[in-house]
Amino acid sequence: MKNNSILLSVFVLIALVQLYVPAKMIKDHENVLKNGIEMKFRTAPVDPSDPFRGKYITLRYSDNTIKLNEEEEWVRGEEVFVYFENDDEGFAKIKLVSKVESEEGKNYLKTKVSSFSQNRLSVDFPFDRFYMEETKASEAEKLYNESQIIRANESHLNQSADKRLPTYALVNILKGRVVLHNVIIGGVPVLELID
Amino acid sequence: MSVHKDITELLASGIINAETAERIDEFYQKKAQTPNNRLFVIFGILGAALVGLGIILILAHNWDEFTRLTKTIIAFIPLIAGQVFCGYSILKKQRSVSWKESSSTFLFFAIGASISLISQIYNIPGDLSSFVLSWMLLALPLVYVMRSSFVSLMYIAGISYYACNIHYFSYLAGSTHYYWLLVLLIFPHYYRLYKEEPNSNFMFFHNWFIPMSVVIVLGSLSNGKGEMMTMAYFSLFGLFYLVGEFNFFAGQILIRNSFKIIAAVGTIILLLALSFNSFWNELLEENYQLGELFHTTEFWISFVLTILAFVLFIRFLRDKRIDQVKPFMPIFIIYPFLFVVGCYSSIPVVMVNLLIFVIGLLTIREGARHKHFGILNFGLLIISALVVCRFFDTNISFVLRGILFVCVGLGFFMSNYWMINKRRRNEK
Repeated sequence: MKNNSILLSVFVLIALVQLYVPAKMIKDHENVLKNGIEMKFRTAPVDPSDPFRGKYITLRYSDNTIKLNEEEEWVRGEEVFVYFENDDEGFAKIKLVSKVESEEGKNYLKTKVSSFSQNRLSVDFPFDRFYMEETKASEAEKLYNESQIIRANESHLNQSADKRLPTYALVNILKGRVVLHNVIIGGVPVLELID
Repeated sequence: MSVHKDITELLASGIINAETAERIDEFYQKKAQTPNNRLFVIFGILGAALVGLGIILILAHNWDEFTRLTKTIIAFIPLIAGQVFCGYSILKKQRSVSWKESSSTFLFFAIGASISLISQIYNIPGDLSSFVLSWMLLALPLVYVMRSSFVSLMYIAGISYYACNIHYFSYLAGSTHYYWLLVLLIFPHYYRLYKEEPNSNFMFFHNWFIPMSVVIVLGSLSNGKGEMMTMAYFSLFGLFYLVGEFNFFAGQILIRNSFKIIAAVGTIILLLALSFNSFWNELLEENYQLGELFHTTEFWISFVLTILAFVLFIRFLRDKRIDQVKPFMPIFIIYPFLFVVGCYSSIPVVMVNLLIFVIGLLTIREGARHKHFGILNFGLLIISALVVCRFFDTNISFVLRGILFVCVGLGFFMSNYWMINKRRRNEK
């Protein structure tokens, strides 16, 4: 019986850890959503799936590269701190990449170098998954592709500059942590677009 | 139940003492483990696993109708339910293997469901490896507290997947150092199974899962000098083969001797791969300097594995006669010499072919000696595989290749026919 109660108390401890870990995950991410800085990242969605977590759209980012002047060497897979600023159109672009935490503010991302050649440094943007209800993910990808074709045609007919409506991801950033919380296709949140 | 009541009565009236009462109780507990009981365990686990997986799938639908708060609450429901089941098993069903195994299995999948739902809610970055790693770490204590062997098997599968995903399937190949620590954490449970339930099905499955997992993940330790890993693999297979010679395994039927089967099949596959020119040509092109090899990770891994295998080999020789040495055993000693020669010339390719042929012949001889069809045909299969591999070498003449095929085919017929006859004669 004594043995049993020891076992039970050990189990209660484990159960608490099992509850604490998911709760901590929730708390950390809620904190980023509440206190983080919201930024817009230009993107294009495609639709794969994950055996455990269901359907999501993968987002590919175009502004994950920066041209560097210094003669510093960067290794693929190396951990880096990436600092952002907004460009003229209000989209996030890389301001600075550093091997150590810098004084540039709290809207930085902790990630890895994905490639480095001819002074061009590309970093990995880890917020590349947006989970959606299984029927909607492929729909979202289709919608995006269609909107791209229509816009391409329009801009061709108008002979004017590229009039593409913005497609971007809304991401909250706080001290290295990021939470992707919405994807906007053609100016409309993807979930509203499909409903 | 009535026996338990009787024991309490006998104890109360002073006919037996507490120790005897406990022993009688234990005896009946063990006796109660009938095949029927085993079925309960199997179906319990199956049921719990299916329900758990079903919950993961239902949650993976990513219900958009629910708010973030609702989803967060839902994430905890299966987890808490699983914990309540496990708590009940500890309190009320301490001796019931089926209760403990099925509640732990359910909790195992509930942990996965819970963290996967949170990943969905917050679009948590990161691939499957980080997800599987947190899942396995949270589930590991169940192996010890609940004594759940099924969770242990799932854990081994999970950490193997984690290592493969992080190294083999990922474009930014990461290090798998954690895997080795994680696999060590399961050994106390493995040892307990070995001590307490050596003939159980769980032990049988652990005997397959653990060496397979190690064989799969070992390659991830390679650090750019892939050719050197062949040495590590031969030593690992040598080590496994000698583990398969331990009294514990040697007394069992072949299918239960997983270490020996994995080692024999692994050795042959690797030798067949090395029987082609391409590996040795690449090795020559690499232009290795022997001194430089000593500084590679691959060298040290091979070194440690070779020493371990060597220690077991010495132990084997001490206990057994020299003619009991099996053809697979000394490969890990021969190979380093072939490798060194291979750095300077391409002669080893001929030697590897000869080696496979000799192993095949010796295996056939062993099969014939023990009248074991499985071993006999494995030997024939080795030689056939060698011939098939040479079939793809275009620089051997068609006639010669044809004759080789005919000879091996006849060999199959004749040796099996001869053995059947021999058996019949013995039976008479």
